[in-house]
Amino acid sequence: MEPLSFRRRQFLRAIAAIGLTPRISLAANEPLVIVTGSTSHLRDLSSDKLRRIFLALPTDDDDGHRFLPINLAQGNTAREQFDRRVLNMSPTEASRYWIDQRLRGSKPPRSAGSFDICRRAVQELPGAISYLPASAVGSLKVVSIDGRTPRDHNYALK
Amino acid sequence: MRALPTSYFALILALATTSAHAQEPHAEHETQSSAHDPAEAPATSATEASSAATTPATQAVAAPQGAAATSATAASAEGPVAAPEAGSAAAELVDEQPGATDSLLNGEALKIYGFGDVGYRQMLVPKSSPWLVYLNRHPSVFVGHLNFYFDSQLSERWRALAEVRFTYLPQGGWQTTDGVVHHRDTRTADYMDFTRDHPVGGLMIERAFIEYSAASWLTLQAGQFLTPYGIWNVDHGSPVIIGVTPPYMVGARLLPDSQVGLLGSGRISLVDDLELSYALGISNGRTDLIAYEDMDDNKALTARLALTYRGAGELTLGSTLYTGTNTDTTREIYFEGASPKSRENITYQVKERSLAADLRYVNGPLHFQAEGVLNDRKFTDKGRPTQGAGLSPDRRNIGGYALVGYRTPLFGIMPYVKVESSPDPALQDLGVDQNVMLFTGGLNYRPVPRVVFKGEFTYGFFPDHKPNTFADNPLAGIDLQIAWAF
Repeated sequence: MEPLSFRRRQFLRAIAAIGLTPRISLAANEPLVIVTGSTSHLRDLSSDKLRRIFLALPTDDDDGHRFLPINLAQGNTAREQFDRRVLNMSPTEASRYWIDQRLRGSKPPRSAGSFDICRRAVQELPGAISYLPASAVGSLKVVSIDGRTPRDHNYALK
Repeated sequence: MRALPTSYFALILALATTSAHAQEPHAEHETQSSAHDPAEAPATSATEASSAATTPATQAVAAPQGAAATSATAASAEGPVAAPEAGSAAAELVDEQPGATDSLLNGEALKIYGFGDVGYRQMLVPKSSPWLVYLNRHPSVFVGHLNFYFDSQLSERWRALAEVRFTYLPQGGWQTTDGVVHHRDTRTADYMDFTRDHPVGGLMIERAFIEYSAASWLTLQAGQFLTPYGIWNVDHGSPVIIGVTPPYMVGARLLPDSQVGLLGSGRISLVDDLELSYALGISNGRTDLIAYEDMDDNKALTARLALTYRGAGELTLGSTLYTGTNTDTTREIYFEGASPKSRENITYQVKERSLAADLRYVNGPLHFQAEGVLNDRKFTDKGRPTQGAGLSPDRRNIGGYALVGYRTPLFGIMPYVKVESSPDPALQDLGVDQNVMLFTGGLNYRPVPRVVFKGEFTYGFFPDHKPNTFADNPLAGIDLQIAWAF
């Protein structure tokens, strides 16, 4: 995806500031999809396992590799949607949760500041797994959840 | 280690580069090419994209590495390097992190974070109350905790974590000598200030371990770890816990709060939403007296099992068993003929067995937690200490608490109440055998995720107290606290 020009970013900020585009980047009804590297053998995940992975509980795939969850940055609408649907947390609750977890001794997943970084991290890092809007998947492999794909009516991330 | 493509290193370096960009809609993030630790994000504000914004991460990161290699080669070929000048090749050199390839995968080699709190305490008891020998006689403000975490991901599966509390103690700590309670004075002449006296504080190692995560069902820790019992002992960070003060039972240490040894733990998913976790530890035992040496040959064992259900909120039910021997000795030299020998004399020795149970249920704004501990202690013949005119008896102590809180829509303020019944082995040495009953009510307000305000009122009494004893005097007080995570 081409980077936005400075002027365009300024324009988007300006109209966002007056409330015209509260969520400009995630099209209405666009589902999120779970993605792994294109060479991954993973085809399907249970929603429980997906939640465990993104709660940073050590979780291995069927090949014995440790899942490496990669979040999108906080404040990102896709991240907010994912946290609400999968972790059942609002952005504030997610912030509290990860601060508390760190003081308990656990580590939160790392996060990517852009779809581009996320895509390349998932493609190149062994075990990496993330989520993206369906239109931003690129060449990554889409993983179904509980046997359902984004085309299914009861898909978990719609 | 298998060979990885150059872009792999470039990418993990890009993930290791921290950039603040929380609160941005993600169309903006499409213009940024850095990543960050989410726990660092809540306090940050939106910023402009980094200078690498329009450059693919691979190129953006690979370039400095290449420059460094080139510069290093040039420097070694041309002899000693003079003081770096702006724009010179020397300024392009980077610090090497030997063996840090895998750590970059998981973040910076070392992260430092922690928590602190400032408190205010006012006891609401008569000035003649005997409790004021030990508790705040006058309303006081204090820095309670200043805990730093040193967290290092050594490789994909190796991690080291140390938590250290900085404290004013032992300066000012109360101690009893010949029936008089006075505070310790650690002031010493400071050679950097014309040898004027300055108080000297200390630090407490809360935990320090190296960890290997072999599989989701097995993580091994070696070092000092928090005893995996209950909820509060592991949650001990002041921004995390709901109340100001820990339950009396936790402070009574019916189980050791930390141990030094080996701890294995893991989680197994039984069915969807239901998880079994366990912990199994072997250690020197209690660290109260001496943390780096076992004073007897009996290793302490800790075993924990817990079930967690995440189907409707999060429900955890756990139980921990601890068994160990706590010993104190003196040592001396004696001679067999002219040959020096050594021996130890046991001055204190108690065999302990504790069983703890805990329940926590969190569902949206509702928070409920309860813990109970049963502790049996039996002195050995050699190690039974005296108490008053007689000997300390064997004892069974039982304590517990329950806390319920609800985060209201009103600014997210959480009112909470806590009820507890707890023994105190220290008071038992003073002849107070009864459990203390404590009732606490308070408010917890978290205006931003990293800052927590708390205020609570506590009233305590001894239901079965004898007249004219310490226990004949009820306790009451208010505590205020500001806690923060950094």
